[in-house]
Amino acid sequence: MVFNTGAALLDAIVLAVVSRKAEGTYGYKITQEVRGAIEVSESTLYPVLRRLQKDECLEVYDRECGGRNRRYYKITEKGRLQLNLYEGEWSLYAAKITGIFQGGIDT
Amino acid sequence: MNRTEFMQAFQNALYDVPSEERDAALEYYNDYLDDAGPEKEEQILQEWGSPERLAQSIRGGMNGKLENGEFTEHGFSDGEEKFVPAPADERKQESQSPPPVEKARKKTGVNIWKLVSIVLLCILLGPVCIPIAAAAGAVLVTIVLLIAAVLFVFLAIGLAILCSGVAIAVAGVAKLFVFPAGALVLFGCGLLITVVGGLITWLFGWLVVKSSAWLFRAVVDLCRRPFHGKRRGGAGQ
Repeated sequence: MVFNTGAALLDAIVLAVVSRKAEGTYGYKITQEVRGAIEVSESTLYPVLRRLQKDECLEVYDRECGGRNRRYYKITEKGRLQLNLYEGEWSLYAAKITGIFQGGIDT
Repeated sequence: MNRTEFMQAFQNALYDVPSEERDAALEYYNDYLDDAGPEKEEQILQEWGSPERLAQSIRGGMNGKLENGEFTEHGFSDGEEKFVPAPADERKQESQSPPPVEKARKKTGVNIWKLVSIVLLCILLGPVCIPIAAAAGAVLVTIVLLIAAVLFVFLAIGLAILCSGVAIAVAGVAKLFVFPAGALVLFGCGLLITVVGGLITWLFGWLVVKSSAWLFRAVVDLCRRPFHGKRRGGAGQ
């Protein structure tokens, strides 16, 4: 990818990925899904998840899975609000950029 | 480095991180490898880079440094350390290549040219330097001895005054019944002189002890400096 992803956009993508699963999802799977959109290394997301957790946008719980505990991340109400904000900002941003690309903005 | 070794080194590298953070990170990355499955283990470890680097990302994230850093298409970078995953096309191939060698960490222990030039300098300047050093040493020793002598002289003077004071006081007591008034004056003067002598003795005794301790330390320091670099003496090893 030629475009850089800022911290806010990465937060937004992670929140969106986590929010798609009502019961939450786990680190490895989040990474693989985020990789479907942007390129991140196998270690990029941990600090992001940790920070979102501390900011109370995500909550964690352990769930028994195949004889071991797996840590699940789940979006909180605050996280959902944050995600809405990000999505609104993104639509505006994307629309403006697209507008410029297509030469449609003259005002 | 296999998984166990990597995780051990990772844990060690997190020594300065609060245990709560450390446990959370260890759990996450252990989970991560479990979820990825053993066949992907090697590739993921390779992408994590070194345990120290991974630990650095935890530390950076904790300090909120993430805000200053930048997520690029090549991963997270905060200016100094770069987290660069293998390019996508490379990653998708079966990677059988050995893990990337840690970048330029080589530091040659001793610079051979420096050593040679020091030896040459010693040989060339030896005939000049050694006599000068010897003379300087002799002067230094003389000065030290002189100061010591002066200190001891004053110490002796102090002791003499102390003794004479005591003697005068005793003489005063002896004359008490023969010549009471004069004897009392004599006794008082004797006590006064004793005190003065005691003070002088005490002062110079203290100076002698202090300066000899300092001298001793200085000599020890001087002797061990060539072997221990610039470390100061004092704390026993």
